[in-house]
Amino acid sequence: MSDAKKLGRRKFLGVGLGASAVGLASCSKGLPRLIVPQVKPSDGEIPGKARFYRSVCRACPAGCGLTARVREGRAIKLEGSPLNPIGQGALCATGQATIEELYSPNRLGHPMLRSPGGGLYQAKWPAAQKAFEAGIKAALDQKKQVVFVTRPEPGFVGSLFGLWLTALGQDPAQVVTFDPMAPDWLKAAAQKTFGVNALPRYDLSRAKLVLSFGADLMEDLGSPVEGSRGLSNLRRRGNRRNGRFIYVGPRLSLTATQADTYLSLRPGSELDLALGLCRQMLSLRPHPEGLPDGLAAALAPWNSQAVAASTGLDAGRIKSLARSIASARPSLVVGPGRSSVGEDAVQLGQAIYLLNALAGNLGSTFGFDAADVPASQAAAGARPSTALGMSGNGGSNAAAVNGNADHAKAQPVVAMAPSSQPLIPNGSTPLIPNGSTPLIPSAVEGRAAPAPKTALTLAELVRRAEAGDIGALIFHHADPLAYGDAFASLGKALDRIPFIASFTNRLDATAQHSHAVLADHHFLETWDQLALRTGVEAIQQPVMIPLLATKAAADVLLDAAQNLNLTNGLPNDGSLSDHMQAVLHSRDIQKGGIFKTAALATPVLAANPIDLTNQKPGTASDTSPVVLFPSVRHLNGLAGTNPLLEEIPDTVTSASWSGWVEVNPATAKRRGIETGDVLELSTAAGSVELAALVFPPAREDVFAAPLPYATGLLADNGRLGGRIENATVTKTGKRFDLVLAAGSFSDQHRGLVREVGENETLPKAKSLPTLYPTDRQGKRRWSLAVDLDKCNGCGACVAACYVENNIAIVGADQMRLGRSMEWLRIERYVEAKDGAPSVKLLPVMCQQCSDAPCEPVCPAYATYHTDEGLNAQVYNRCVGTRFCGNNCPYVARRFNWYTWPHESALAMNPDVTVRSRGVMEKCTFCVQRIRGAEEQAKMEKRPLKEGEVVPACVGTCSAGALVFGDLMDENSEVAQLSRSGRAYHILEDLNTRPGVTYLARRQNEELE
Amino acid sequence: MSSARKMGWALVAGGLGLAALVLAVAFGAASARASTKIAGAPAKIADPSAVDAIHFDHTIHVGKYGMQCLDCHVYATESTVAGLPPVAKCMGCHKFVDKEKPGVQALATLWREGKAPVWQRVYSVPDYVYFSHEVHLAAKVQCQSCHGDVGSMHTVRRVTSLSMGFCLRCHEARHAPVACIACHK
Repeated sequence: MSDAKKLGRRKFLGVGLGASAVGLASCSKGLPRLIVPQVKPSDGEIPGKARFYRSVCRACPAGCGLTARVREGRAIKLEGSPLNPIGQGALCATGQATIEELYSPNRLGHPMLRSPGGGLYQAKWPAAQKAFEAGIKAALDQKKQVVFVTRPEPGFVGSLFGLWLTALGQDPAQVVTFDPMAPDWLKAAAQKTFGVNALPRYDLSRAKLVLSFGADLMEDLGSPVEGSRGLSNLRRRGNRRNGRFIYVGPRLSLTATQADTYLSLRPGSELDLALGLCRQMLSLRPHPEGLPDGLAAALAPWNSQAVAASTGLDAGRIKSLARSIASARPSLVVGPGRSSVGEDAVQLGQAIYLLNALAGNLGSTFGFDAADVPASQAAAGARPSTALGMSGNGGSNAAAVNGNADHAKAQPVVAMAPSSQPLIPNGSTPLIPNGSTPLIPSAVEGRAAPAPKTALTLAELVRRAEAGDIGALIFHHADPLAYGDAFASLGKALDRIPFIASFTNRLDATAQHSHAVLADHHFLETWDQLALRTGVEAIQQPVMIPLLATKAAADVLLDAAQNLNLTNGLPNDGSLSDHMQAVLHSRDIQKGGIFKTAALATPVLAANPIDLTNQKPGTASDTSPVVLFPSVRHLNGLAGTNPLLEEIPDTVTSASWSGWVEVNPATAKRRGIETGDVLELSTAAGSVELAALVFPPAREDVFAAPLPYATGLLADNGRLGGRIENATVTKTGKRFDLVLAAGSFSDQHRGLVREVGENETLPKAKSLPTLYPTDRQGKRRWSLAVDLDKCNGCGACVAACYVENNIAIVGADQMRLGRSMEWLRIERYVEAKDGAPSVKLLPVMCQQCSDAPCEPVCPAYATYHTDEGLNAQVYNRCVGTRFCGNNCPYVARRFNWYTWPHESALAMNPDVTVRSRGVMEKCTFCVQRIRGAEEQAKMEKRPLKEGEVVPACVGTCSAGALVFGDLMDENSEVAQLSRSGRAYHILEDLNTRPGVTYLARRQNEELE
Repeated sequence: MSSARKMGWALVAGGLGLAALVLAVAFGAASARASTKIAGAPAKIADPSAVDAIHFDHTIHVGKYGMQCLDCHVYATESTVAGLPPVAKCMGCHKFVDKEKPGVQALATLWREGKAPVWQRVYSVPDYVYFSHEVHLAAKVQCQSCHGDVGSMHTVRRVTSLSMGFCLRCHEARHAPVACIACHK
């Protein structure tokens, strides 16, 4: 080798960049220079080692189990807990992002009191506690009522409200459960059709056909993880044939993108379709028992011609839909969802329940929680169910969970246990197999005793407040004033209440109206035990010491009772934490709860399941309504509370950071509307200005907007979203630069998302010659398989990726410049087949190409190919030429235009560098987790096992769409999938030989 | 955006007490932030006068009484960091030993007040480097290879550069992994 050659690229750069390297070195000052040891060693804590705690996610009322990864006393990442039957090891995007709220600078870290001048000021706890007690005492002295408004609290803290009110000599029923997104119409319909005042539960895994009436299982209806898993369970697994999914509704939602057939019908005509299907079902299926005689006659007007005229669907299509439902045994009809409900919500619900009854689905795919069905009805469904449930009984402490016979310990309150119990500090904790769960007497029935049978409604609360009966109102994580005018009458009634206290994590709209704002712990910092549904009791334990000067709501109440000398019937063993630790079993805490299988209960049709007197088809209004639809990123219906969820683009439209109005291109053309024109939507209730998004799948006669950004349209009836009639839409002449991540909704005919028929395979890809050396492969090839048959675009993987990898949130302005930092994104491609719109989804991350275009162009050797098949990125070598990003055909690389601020240093994952300005970053299959697992195996002197390395995206996928492993191990799941007939690579003709394999989506037969 | 950053630090300061203590002990927990901004910030946590308030002499503990590194730096065999002993550990002996010496009395005062001495960091690797004591000890690397003969130092000083070249020379000699991402994170 000549000397000239010896001065290779590296040496040349070393000389050339030497001068600037001096400057660079000064950028990196290393670690904090001080070390503070502990005073006393904390029990079992090892600095530098993660500990894992099981708890339960409270980001929504569903109650998925979680496993918190805790480093040096800080929770840094949440994973699902596989033991909890609701989440089954997965979390949704909101659950993943909730850790941002724990460390958010907007969190309220101290109590606040109202000064005589009217403003809120920061107070100390003794003063706040005194003010709270004084407010309560004044109400008691004046013989007025003390009332709670709480988020769903189906557990100890919830039961404490009733006990506390009893101790104060108040009616324990003075508790309003505030769950604004709960689909109350489903409950009301169930009451009328079955005499069961509860939400139904579905089992999609058994259904051969699912018909959804605007029911967005992932975005709404109380349990997004179960919804997502349910949809993927419909797809083929093993010998099970694909279930078919048909979605009818006024808007193509995320859930609707997963449908084999999306039927866009005239908004408001859903009831006609449901009744028309009921009518046909009468002749296609044997009648179920107890069917009222007059039903056939009552349904007679809903013949297929009338229904076709009303819905705008083809009569033949409706008939074939009915035949498909009748022949699929069992089928399942779900809904109505938020997008499909208007004034007729309850009756539509009844029609859908009746359709399920007529199709023979009761007790198989459609049922109720056993605790919700009256004992006289409960014909105890025969099978264990991990069914898709919908937020149980609404979670009210009042909606008492009847004690099971085997929970026979008479104890007034739910029990708890010894201090926080970590799991073995090692991700691969062996899981206790289901079924071997020992039962402990957990005294759940204790809650039933003080809890009233009928809880207070919000309307009754308003009435009492206006009558001046209420002396003190206590909000507990409930923020009704944030929902526009939906609860306006409550807002007005607040003026009549002398004392308002608010337990909260943020200074929210309701807290700003309070006299005392009592900063509560985050749910990761405090105890509870939740009876979520029959057989599912989850234990919430603190995973870290409270970060701020907050106090548990339960402790404020217990202390107040103590100081007011009114403790009769309250637990007398100290604080919440003491009490919990006194009773719960550490074994159960380690598992995150007590889980048994429970069967779906079969309901019985009421004597008159639906009343159709004086009704006829085709009465839907002709005006173009506004449809406010739910969003998977805002489960509580509120926008703007979590920056991470704002930044992650909406899967279907790619919009982020603001709301939008979907406008059909034809309508847009007719009315001269372009994307970015600000439209004013106004209804009788109010108006809201949002930017237009011309979106091909939108219906011509519907203006659809995401509910969280359009709360200004809500009328004071407590219902959030749905169809709002008589809306006017006007162009304001203003423009708004909508943040859209997608440059185009088309895949430009590149065939990125492929589909195959039920039993087809893809043609074999041509093998192309390569100029790269072919002998670089070591003993391993890390690889990811993305099954597009299962992926439903819920976005949990994206949120998990952000949190695990310290990815920066850049904000709307930088997003507009295309500077989003997401390593894993979900692309959407809008297509139209025979006039029916469809959206195809494609998760894209770094493809870890074997012949990577990014690698040879790096002048700094900052990106290189490892012998395990990764395109590694060495952040401190990167000098920011951006050549690699320019050369990457998958746009998988992200450049740091600034040293982005992070909300809190405490939230950062210490195993991943925080990148600074001028550095290119990308997905490396969570190389820190690969390294961790490899070291663990090395220390234990054993080879790495399959399934030991779980990247963040794979770990939280509820659909099971992502499979990670070693391609060189022929028996690994990922290798098997990569050999399957559905396997392909995106942009295969570029011959980059990616490590990410996509599996084509199976196309089901269309309806004839 | 800068206000968000400020708020972040306000939060660190607000989390004083145990949370902050644990943070500081984390040996790089906070370092995950861009290093330019993190440097110096934890000084806000500690009282500057407390820094190196006690003169700890390794020659007495190691040199004279023959204590082993792992007697005090107990986490080295099971974690990425070696750890400093908690005050409770010091007091385990000094409740009885050398009680009259001023350094020990200063320690006892801190112990009574529930405080810990604040030390200056001598060895550190940058934020973008992953280093595990556990793995190195398992590979039979001696503490002295990187930290020198601490037992003969009255005040610990850095005797090796911990530069990449320093690491790689050893890795190459021992056939340890030399891939970039073996250490760079």
